[in-house]
Parts: sequence; structure tokens; C-alpha cells
Amino acid sequence: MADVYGDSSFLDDTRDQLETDLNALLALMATASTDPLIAVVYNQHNVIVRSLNAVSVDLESYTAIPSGLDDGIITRYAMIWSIRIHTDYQGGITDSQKAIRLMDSIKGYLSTNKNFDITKNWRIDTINVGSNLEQFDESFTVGSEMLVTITFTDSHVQA
Amino acid sequence: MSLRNDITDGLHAATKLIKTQSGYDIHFEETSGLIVNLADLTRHRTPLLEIIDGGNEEKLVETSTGQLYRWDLILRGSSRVRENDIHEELNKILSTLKQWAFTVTPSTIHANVLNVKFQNVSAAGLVENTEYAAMEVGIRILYHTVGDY
Repeated sequence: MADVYGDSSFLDDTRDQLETDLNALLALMATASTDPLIAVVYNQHNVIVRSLNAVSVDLESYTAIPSGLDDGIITRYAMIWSIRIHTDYQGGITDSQKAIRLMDSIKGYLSTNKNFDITKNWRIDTINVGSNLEQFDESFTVGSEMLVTITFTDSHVQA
Repeated sequence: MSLRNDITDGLHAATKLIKTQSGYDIHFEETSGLIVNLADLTRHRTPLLEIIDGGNEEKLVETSTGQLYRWDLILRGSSRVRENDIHEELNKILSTLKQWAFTVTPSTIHANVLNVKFQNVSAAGLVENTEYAAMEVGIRILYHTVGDY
């Protein structure tokens, strides 16, 4: 895979793949009638959450790792993706158990489905398990957040 | 017709379904201010329910496709006390309104209403120089503008 240097379409591709995976989990949970269920997956945090429980994915940050720059064509990117569980609106009940169960489901599913087509290597890096009382101002909701680190190796060509 | 008017209409319809503990319907009345009009109170049978716009609306979330708003309203229940215990009467009103706020399905009020929350008791007591007990319960509605609006 060779991209023009500066092309950041891999960010969109990674987000789309995460969204696809989470929707696959949503379908699995619906079939199995697990409790709690995920009702909807959004591909950004700044969203009007119309159904609960909701999951949203957004890019937290990314950085180019310079170790691959020796020959000028290989760059490794480290992306940190934020996955949020929305269990209620602010002012409502903060159900830690519900949030943890959903968090575990997502972690388990992503851990066993690591083979992204668009990435060469990725792993779950951190999980914010101590933050079940988080309030998300972008969506006026409460819930939990986990951070997933995904590394991506790209070979560049000159434009 | 604005979205807020549509939601108010939906609120009318939903609160009309409230039944008191004794089983008879609550008479519904909408007021536009916070002042109890004694004439309005005495010409109605009780229990009487009024919906009052708290005048507190705030945009919480702005996205490329719509907005999320918070709207505070007050439900005021009034009931004739006569020989009854005023505390018992007030508790009946409170428990009825509170239970409604906790159990109502938001989408039955309007498709764009996402959430209804009981907030607080903002006032309670005997209406001065009358035989009516009144209880004001604050509720908070979250609604969004995504869709046809």
C-alpha cells in the first residue's frame, strides 16, 4: 500500500472500520438478546444521542513515529481512538454496572477481531475503567470512555 | 407551527392521561406565567393541573445536523382541601406528578423529545385565602431539532 505523503485518509478508513466492527457487535448482541444492548453507533462524539445505550467513536490524537523515516518511505502512525459508551443524559442515572458491561463487551469483541484490513498492527492500549461517572459535554450524556491505540504502517510515494 | 408548540401540545395530551389516586381525571389547564390566578382556580373543578413554561431553555449540543435543547417546565397541581389533611393532599399531588415524570415515554409526548426528568419541588402549600393546596413540580425536557424542523 503506497500513499502520497500527507494523505490522511487512513484516519477515515480506521474510523469507518471501527464503526463497522462496533455495528457488527451491535448486531451480535441484538441476536443474543444480551442485557444491556447497544442501540446505535455514531462515528463522532459531537452528536445528538437519539437512542440509548449509544456508542460513539472519534479520533483522540495521532502521531507519526519517526523510526520509519530513515529511508523516507515508511512511516508508522500511532492513532488513539476514543470509544464512548453513553448510558443516559446528564442529570440522569449513572449506571456504572451497565457501562462496565458494555465496556467489557466492546473490549472483548475488539480483542478477538483485531484483523483490520487497513492496518498492519493494532492493539488495545488503555481502558479508562475508573471513569464510569464521566460527563460528555459534546453530547450532554454520561457514561464511560475507553481509549484504543491503533498503529498503522504506511509506505509513501512522492506526489 | 413551531417545534416547541408541537411539544407543548404533546405534553397536554400526555398529562391529560394522568389519573389521580382516587381514579378521576385531572382537569388540564395551561398558564403562561407563574402567578396563580385565583379566579381560574376557583372556577375549575379539582384536581387541576397547569403546565407552566419555566422560561429556561438552553441549547446544549450543536452539530452539523441539528441541536439538542434543554427546556424546564413546571407542573402545578392544585386540589381542594376542605376537611382533608393538606399534607395528605399535597403528597397525593406530588406522588402522582413524580410518578408520571419518571414513567412517561418521551416519544409519546413528541418524536423529538428524548428525555423527561423530574427535577424538584419548587413550591408547595395552601394557596392564600383559599381552600386549595398547590404543589409545583419542576421537570426538564430534552428535545432535538433533527428531522423535519
